[in-house]
Amino acid sequence: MNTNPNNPNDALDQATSQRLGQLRTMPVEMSRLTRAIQQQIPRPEAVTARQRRWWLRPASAIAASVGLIGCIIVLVIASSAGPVLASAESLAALHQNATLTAMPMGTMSSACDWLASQLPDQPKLPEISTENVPACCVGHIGRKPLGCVVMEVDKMPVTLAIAKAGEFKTAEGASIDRNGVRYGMQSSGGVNIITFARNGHWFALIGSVSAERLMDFAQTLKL
Amino acid sequence: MLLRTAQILCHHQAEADDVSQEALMKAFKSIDQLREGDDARPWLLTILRHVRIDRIRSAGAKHTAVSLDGAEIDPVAHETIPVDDAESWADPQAMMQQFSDAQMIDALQSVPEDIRWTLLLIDVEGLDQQDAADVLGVPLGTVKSRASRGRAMLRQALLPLAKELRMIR
Repeated sequence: MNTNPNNPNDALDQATSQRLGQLRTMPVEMSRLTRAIQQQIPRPEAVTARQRRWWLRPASAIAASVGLIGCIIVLVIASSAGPVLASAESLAALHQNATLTAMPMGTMSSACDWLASQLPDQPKLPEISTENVPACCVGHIGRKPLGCVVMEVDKMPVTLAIAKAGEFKTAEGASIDRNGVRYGMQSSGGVNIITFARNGHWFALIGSVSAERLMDFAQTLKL
Repeated sequence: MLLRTAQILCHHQAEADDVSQEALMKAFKSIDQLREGDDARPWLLTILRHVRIDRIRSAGAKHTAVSLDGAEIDPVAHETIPVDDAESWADPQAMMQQFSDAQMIDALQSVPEDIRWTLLLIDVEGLDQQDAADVLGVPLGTVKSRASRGRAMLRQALLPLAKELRMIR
């Protein structure tokens, strides 16, 4: 503040201004204001809790339920509807896996019982005349299970896979009709594969023997 | 600073708390207006002033008997500059120290609001005159004249008390 000491009003102003300036150090009671502001500012934990419970709000809950049900329906349809494509590669892999993991069974009868216990909804095994004791396992193509029996044909392991007709389909390819049965023929990784349907069942025979031999063996199955 | 200014402006502690709270919440919401390096004091005091004016106007709308003169600046209304009895204030520095803070605040609250704002900004808070002019939205010259007039009015308000305390005859 510019003052003229010879001017009595300037001296008065300076004294007044200085005294007013001392009010700057006056203690201020802030507790009520602090409380009021704290009540207005949302607490972080309250926001977090609200965010955690967003699904409890009716509109959000309904939307979430509809979304969840939709996802379940899509998954069910995707996993159950329509036949699964049994490609040559998947059947060859099924054979390779079966020869490694199948459990030896004492008799054909015990093999039938074991597979029936594992896959009660799947068809029973046909009567098979084999040279040795078979082994069994549950294989999968995609998400669908199917019963597998590993046996020897001409000293070579051959896998018979069985499922309900309509659950699997094979890729378009070569086929041959024999004795009223149409055999689809594929090969992959050095193994031959024949697929056919009889009496409402779907079969695949997979092994490192010729397709002709596999068809011959298929003829021996008593359904 | 904000609460102190509000306490000197308002006659009641609760009103001062409410004005300060509203001003702080508004400042919080518009904090992005404040640029790095800016002095926050003039900005906050401007918000406080707007809140104070809004509340006085709102109270005036509810109770038409309440005058808005305190909020609106009317230079004509304060053209009459009080005449200081300079001889009465023989030793102004010493005499001013005789008044308590409460007595100074009472005297401040007796002067018109625009004058009170000017003294609060320049003398109490120590803002320079240009910042005070910006806060009040008036030219620099107006602030200077109001400051001088306001100090004289304050002394006039303190005179009866000074006589009562036998500080002057």
